[in-house]
Amino acid sequence: MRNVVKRILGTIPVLIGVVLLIFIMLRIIPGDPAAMLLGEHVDQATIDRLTEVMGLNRSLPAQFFGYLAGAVRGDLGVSYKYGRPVTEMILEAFPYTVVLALMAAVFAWLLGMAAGVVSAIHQNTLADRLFMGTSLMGVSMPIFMTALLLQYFLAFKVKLFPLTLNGTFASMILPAVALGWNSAGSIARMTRSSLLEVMQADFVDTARAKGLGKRAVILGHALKNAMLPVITMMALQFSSMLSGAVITESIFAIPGIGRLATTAIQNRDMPVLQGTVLFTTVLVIAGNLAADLLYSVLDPRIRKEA
Amino acid sequence: MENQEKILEIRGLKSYFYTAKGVVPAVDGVDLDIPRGKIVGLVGESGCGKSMTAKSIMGLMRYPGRVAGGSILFQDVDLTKLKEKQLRRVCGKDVSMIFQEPMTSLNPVLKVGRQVREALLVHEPSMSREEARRRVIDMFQRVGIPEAEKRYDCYPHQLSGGLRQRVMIAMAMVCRPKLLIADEPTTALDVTIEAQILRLMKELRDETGMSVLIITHNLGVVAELCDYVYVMYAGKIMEQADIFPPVRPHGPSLYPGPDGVHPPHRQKRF
Amino acid sequence: MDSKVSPPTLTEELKSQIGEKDGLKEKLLRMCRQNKLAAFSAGLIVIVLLLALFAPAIAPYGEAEQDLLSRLQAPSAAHWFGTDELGRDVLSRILYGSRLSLTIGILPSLICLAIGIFFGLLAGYFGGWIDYVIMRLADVMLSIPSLLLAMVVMYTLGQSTVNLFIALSLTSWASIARVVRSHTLSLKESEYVEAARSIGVSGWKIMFRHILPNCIPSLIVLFTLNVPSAILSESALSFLGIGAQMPAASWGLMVNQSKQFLFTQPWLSLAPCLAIMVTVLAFNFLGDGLRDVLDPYMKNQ
Repeated sequence: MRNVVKRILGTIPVLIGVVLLIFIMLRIIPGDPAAMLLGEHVDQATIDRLTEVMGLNRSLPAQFFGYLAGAVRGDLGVSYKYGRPVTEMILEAFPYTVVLALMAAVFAWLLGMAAGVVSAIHQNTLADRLFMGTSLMGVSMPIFMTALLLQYFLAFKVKLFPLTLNGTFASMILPAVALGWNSAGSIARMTRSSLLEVMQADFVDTARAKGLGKRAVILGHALKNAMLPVITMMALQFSSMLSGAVITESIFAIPGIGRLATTAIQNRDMPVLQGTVLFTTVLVIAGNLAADLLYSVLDPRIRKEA
Repeated sequence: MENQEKILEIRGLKSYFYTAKGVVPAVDGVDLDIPRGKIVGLVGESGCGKSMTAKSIMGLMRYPGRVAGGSILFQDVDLTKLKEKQLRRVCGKDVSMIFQEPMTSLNPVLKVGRQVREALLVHEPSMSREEARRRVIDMFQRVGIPEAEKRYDCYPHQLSGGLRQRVMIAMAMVCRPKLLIADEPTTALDVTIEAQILRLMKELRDETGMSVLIITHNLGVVAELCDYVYVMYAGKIMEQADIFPPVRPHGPSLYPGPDGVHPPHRQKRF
Repeated sequence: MDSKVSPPTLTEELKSQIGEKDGLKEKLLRMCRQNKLAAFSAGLIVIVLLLALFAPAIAPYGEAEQDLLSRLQAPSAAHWFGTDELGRDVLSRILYGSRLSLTIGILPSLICLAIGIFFGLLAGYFGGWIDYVIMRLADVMLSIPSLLLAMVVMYTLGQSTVNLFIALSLTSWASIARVVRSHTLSLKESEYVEAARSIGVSGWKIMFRHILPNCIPSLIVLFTLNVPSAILSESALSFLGIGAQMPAASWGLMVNQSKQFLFTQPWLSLAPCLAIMVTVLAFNFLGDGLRDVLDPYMKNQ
């Protein structure tokens, strides 16, 4: 338990670093943001007024600590474009992205694990080559390619699913599959190689010497050990999944966090971009934390040492 | 030896590794008998094929290695001819095995009690979990694990090397096998623990009347424990001898000395 | 191992097991012999590079050559992959686009490599607060989803092709720095580094002369696997319209332009997608093959 608290506290410097990095990166822009927002035909007084409203007349450190203090309280500033609180906009978009990412993760997890286990059991057979070839192809496909292929064949040609989001569960399936496809490939490859490695361990001989059949050895003994590196990778995959969500949301017209970020760039809406990136990063860090905790639940050696 | 009832008869066993660059014979025509109720030693330098002989008996040879010829008759059934499923029904129940390295031979992420219980349940699926748990704890006590109840829920890394090997022995013994194969069971342990473990194995043999095949490169262990010994070199059996009375031609080169040849507890023979 | 009975002639597998050292060249040759797929991929990459290099000579039409009379045509003998909404030849655009996509895969990866090596050596060799600061910075970089990080850079610098290079160069050095650091940490304690230190070789010289060469196999693998992810990032940004800008041809940008015709002229989207996939796949196969011979311990990282 103390370990959990320690691990959570350990993320704080990283979180502050993230806020600082994004803050700096978004403020080294040449030119006056207020002037750029207002366009060319405005007098200096208006620009000054806006600068003051936006808090841009304060020193950078003051702006940073102001932002940090706000962020801790859940206040991420106000959108330049829409004049709405960024937090409010993120909370509206957030459920879409979370549902999308969770569905994609479940899909990737199930498909990847199943393909990896089957490949490992039937190592060097046709099925193995087929699965591993497909998964390397999955890893190598850009997300928009998967998404467009699914959209074209399953939504346009066969009409099994709606083309874009329409509020139903069915309309979330294609985006989730498109988003999970890459990760499924990585997970399958990782599961396979990890399982094959674990199958070389001495305790597998012990289990077989006890009289356990191949299936029982793999499912009862080897898989749990083989999952450990896979879990670490799942956490990394979560981060790239949130990257991929930006693409998927744009193709399937899902009003999630990724769409918010894309439109923020087009609108040059700095507070919204800052807020979405920050929020997504917090999700990633939380995901890593969850993976670490899950890891220590599965591996008693870590649990006790700590 | 010839006129004793044999529980295991190996004839012309060949186990080869088929590598890309040719065939490596790990076991190359081994003949070996194990009489009922006796402890048989198999000695030889590392890499001579002792462990591969044991693995061949249990059907544990791994790709690219496999049994290439010969027969392994266990109670008149040829184990090499059995299908994998039939062989698994024999392994762990009638023939069981203890491995060299008790740390890596136990699954690090499962409780030791569960791992031993599994050996019982796989061969007696009708047994209830509580009943199995009780049998396992009994077995733990029998192999000298203190606080058996508490140890049941321990993970391997929480136990000492000696305790882990006792867990391995409990796992091998829990189904009351007729033949126990011990592959260097004490190599990873320190000397005092080694003596305890050897004594335990002998006591268990005396109690249950099982046969034991003990693989080792330590002639002290052979002298201490065995009724009969085979010497292996480069995949072949080179010499074989009764321990008692000591036979002449191989004697001087094989045995550590008269003290080792006449251990005081020889009279306790089953 | 019980398998080595009478000393058999050492197979390559056994050689590598007992750690007999092959040179880099021998290892690469061995990979080509044993892993046909990796060798094929290496050949494919060379072909793609040559096609990119000689695109102006090979391409049947110009990069932006429009023919408004033959717009949105299906694949034919004259236009193998058809034409786009401005009547430009898709095959020619893909050939020209390979120049940008490949440069953006390779150049930023090299820059990442340089940054990662520098920070990794520094952190691993000096340790202490330098290590702490660099590694926390790496943690920060790795926490921000890479596409969003690149989006922030593009926002700040403005959307142009040059800025795309910068964005991708800044985003993925952290994992390289981590690997170099862990190598450095273990090599720092080795006897030959101790020896070098004892005769007064400077820290920088030890880092670059003695430690860095030992990281090279891992770095080759990391680089090879970084290229495809950079290509994918570029295509993702360009697809969103915040990467390469018209009139430049880039594979991602081509999909961005053609996705509105997905349901009427699907080949327009498919062709550049396939180009990305084949190139990325070849790099991934090669990277996998290289990892097997150069850095087998990295498999589970």
